[in-house]
Amino acid sequence: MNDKNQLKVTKDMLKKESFYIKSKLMNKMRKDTTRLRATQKMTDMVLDLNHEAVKGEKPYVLTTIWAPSEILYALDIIPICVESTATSLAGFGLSDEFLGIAEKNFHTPETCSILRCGVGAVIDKLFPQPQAVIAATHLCDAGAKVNSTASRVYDCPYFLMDIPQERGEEAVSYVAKQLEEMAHKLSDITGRKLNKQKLAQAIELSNQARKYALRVNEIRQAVPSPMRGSEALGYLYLVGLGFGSKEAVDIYRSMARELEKRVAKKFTPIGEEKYRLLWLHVRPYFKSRFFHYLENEQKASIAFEETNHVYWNELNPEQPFRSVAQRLVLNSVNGPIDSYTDILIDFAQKYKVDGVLHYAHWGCRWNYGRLRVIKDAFQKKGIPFVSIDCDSASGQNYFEGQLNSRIDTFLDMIG
Amino acid sequence: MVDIDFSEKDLNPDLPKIGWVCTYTPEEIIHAAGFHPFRILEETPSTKLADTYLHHNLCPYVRSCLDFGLKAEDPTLKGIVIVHSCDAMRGLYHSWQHYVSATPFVHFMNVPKDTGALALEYFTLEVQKLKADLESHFGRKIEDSALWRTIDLYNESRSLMAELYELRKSPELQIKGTTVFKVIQASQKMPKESFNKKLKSFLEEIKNQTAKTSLSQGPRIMIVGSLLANSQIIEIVEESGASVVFDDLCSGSRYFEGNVEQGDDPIKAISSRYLLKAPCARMKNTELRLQRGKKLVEDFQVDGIIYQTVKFCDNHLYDYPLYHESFQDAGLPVLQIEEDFIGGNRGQIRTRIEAFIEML
Repeated sequence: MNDKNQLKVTKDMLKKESFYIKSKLMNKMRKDTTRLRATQKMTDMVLDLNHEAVKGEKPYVLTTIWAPSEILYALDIIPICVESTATSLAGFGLSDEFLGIAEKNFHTPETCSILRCGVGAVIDKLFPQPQAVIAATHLCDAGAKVNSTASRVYDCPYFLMDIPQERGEEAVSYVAKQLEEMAHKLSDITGRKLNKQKLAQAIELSNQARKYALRVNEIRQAVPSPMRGSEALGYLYLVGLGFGSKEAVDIYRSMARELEKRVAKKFTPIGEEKYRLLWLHVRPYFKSRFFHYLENEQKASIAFEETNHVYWNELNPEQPFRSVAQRLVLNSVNGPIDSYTDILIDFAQKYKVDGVLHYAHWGCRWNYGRLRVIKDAFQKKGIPFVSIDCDSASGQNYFEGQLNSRIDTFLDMIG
Repeated sequence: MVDIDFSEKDLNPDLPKIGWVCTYTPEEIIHAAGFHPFRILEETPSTKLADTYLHHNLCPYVRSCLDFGLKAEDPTLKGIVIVHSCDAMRGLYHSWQHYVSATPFVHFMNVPKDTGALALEYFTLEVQKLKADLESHFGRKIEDSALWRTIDLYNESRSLMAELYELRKSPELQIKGTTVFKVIQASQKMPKESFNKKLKSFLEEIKNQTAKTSLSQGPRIMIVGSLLANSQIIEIVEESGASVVFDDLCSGSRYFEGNVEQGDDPIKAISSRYLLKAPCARMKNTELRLQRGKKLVEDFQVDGIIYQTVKFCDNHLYDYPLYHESFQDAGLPVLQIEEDFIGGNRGQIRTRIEAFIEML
């Protein structure tokens, strides 16, 4: 953690041109030599997309994470994600302010703080006027509810992508039909023409990004780990909403090249690797010393994290809606739990981890619903597992000493 | 004042049975397969067993269902149908699959959040899958004729429940909310054959009451929310001099409102009824829910709303601000009450309801 490299942000600054210019500059000037150039590019991408949405020169939609991004890029529509914006607000130290707005408006503190911060930002109209709001249902109920609220607040059309919890042909066909219907309506709303060629192009770009992302994940199997997990956990926007953009191809390609070089030199950004961990679920986004302690002081590498899993097959440009539907339906969080635990165990083996750290974000119901089954699956294989209850967007319940001592105990056990 | 009671034998008959946990479960399919469909809906003093499998930050109703499964020793319990109505139910399915051995048949069913043509088409496939799964697991064919017979039986039951609820439109109430609660709870557990008989005769009894003592003329309350495991809220309302005149609850009107229409294809007819029924907060169309609420307020001359949520029920928690905005801001008071399903916080709930009713 280096506060000197962070911009001090206030709520009022966020929509201003000066915030964009300063953030871009800060991103460029960050002196952390262990940070990848690809991460800098990704931050630029997110800043640029937000800036374009604020300027209103391009149509934009508010979405949940893992929305059908290829279709949006084919229509030249910017996807801005409520959840990932909330995580950025937490990073700026502003989440408590937006959580307060949500609570004043009768949103209970018992829901997921990421989405509650998101709904606070929606109520406060932090986002510029979107052309539409989209929600995909496979991750959680709360995302769909928050985005439904956003469509009411901004008085604009709401598209709900109903993603069944199964992977059969019926589910793919149902989702593909919804995507096609949504694409035509979005085209009408925004005036952006939808054509086969643009869709095919977005699918091709998605496939290219996928190829490099798979390569990145393969390179990251190296010992010692060539990338900080805390940094990799910040790629959620890209993996959830970047596919189909040119930028995602460039970022993953750049990442693969940088990591290859690091592996050749046996370079690890934490200096020395004592432990290797598999990270499950999201990360703390608020300002804390958590990762500094884990990575820099305890020398524990997060070798891989489930959020960066590239779970889908190559998409078919000839069948864009069907392909994207498959990508949504096959999402690792969707479908049978046993096939997912098999995937997680495979990660633990491929990434040669000493143990699994599950960050149980308070308020995340789907995650709590799977926790025991996953824990038992790892234990059955003799892979050490720890789950720590904490919050992702709010530091109000972050007790550094307690958390560190749990981590110490776990690391002692696996060391 | 007339009252009704249900025996343990009424509520838990010695019949081969299949449990369900969400009102989007098309019970008719289970019944036509020769099983007694019953809702797992028990107030439990604790969910100790389930708590080792499901985190305490998950819906206590879902944990109580798992607790029921883990404790179940009833040889007549043949299976369970779990519907993907919310994230917590998805978790229930994961845990049930792995840790409950009492039910050889476990079926998971998707229910769209939308109600358009595409969603209905998909949901119809899901209903067909449930039928096919029951047929293949138990080696019995579910004939269309059996389905139509069941539909008639269930329609009769729903109509009787609607008749009972309709009685509460009158300004001079002849039936207590706690009595209606007993009936609605029983309707989800008893075989419809015996339940319908009992409810018919109870309705007759109400009509034939000679001494027409009506309940208090105090404020008329509607309870909106997820589901009730016990009647504590209704009791407190009635003890405070008010009356519960309607509910928009999963364990209330949302269970029975709307019949299956006659047609050529029973599966399509059942699918339409269930997907298009009075909506739960899980559904996309929140506006429809609010409109229904406004109509009920008018029809039943409601003076105040108690918005009840089971703890950690995100769908209902996220809808509360909309209710507040739509009703409270329009001059109809709304009180939010959160319940833990194990009968806790009774004192605090009582104080809040009493103050609310006094204000009305």
